[in-house]
Amino acid sequence: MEGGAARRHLVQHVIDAFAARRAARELASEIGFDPRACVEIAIATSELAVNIAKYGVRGHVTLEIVDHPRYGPGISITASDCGPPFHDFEMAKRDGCDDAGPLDPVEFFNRHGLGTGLGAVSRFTDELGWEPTADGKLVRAVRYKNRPPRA
Amino acid sequence: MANDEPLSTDLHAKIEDLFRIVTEIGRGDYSTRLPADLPADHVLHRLYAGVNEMVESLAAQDQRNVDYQRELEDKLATIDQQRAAIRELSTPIMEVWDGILCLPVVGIMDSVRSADMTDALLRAVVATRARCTIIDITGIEVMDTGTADHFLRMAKAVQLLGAACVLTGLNPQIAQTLVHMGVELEGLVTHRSLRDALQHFVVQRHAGRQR
Repeated sequence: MEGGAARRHLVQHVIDAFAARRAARELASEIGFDPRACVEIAIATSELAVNIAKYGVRGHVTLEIVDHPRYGPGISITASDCGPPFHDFEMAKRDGCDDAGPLDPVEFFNRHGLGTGLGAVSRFTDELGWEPTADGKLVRAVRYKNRPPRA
Repeated sequence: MANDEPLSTDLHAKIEDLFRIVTEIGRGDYSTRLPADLPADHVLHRLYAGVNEMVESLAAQDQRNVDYQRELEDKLATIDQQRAAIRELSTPIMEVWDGILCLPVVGIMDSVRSADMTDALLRAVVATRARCTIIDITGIEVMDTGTADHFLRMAKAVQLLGAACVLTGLNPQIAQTLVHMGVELEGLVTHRSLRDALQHFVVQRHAGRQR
């Protein structure tokens, strides 16, 4: 496992988030995260996977074990999809917002979500970033066993 | 007769080969073929070709069976996984008492599930004309602040529909999450357990009837 035997999960539908998050929880438990952290990692994975199904059309969630010189072992969750890039990532991370700004309350009930997904990911992980790729985009979040102090 | 001697030895060896391959087929091994270098006028030429053709088609059929088998196993695994997902994602809403709805929540709570749950609960409140709803989150270990905030809004929305809404089964961690969020907790009713909440509502109903 060390050095990144990656686990890749195809995501095409919201239901696929289930398999990804179960794998994330198991992997976290395997490398010794405490039960609470395991659930937090599972939720972060779930949110990223659901975002693929909702906005990215289809893509993959890849789970990898990483090792940081200071913060020790961790899990990296990479969500790659073929959807459009983020208009404003910082905005998307705010609760009740998507990448274009605050959600329309009228639309709210039809979107199957709260606009808090990326917010949850940023709270439950220690690194969160994105980059455009040749055919879409990639979001990567890392959670370490010894969490670095929040900025 | 002297000329026939080597021929019959040859025939003997070839029939031996035939037996061997038929035995292998019987064991389910389709890997060997008879040598295809017999001259076209040899007595066994057509038999050899026929046997090879038969082995070929048996092997193809066998491969198809293996493929079907694998496909079927994949599908069964998917069904298992989806069944588990359905169990976890479903939000049963039960009318546990006359006019009292209960929504037990177990598993992992993400934003999609939380949103779908609100939708289902609000519809159920209207459809059943419930007066009280109990949301029991004993089975939830961790809740993100975004989701917790949504839960409080869900309770308010239920109250707007004219029903009471209480949260039960909060664990210490979720209680801390709620307090640290700095959201308005006024108007939020909680009970320690589902049992306590149910008892409270039933007693309240009973008292209301007597008056």
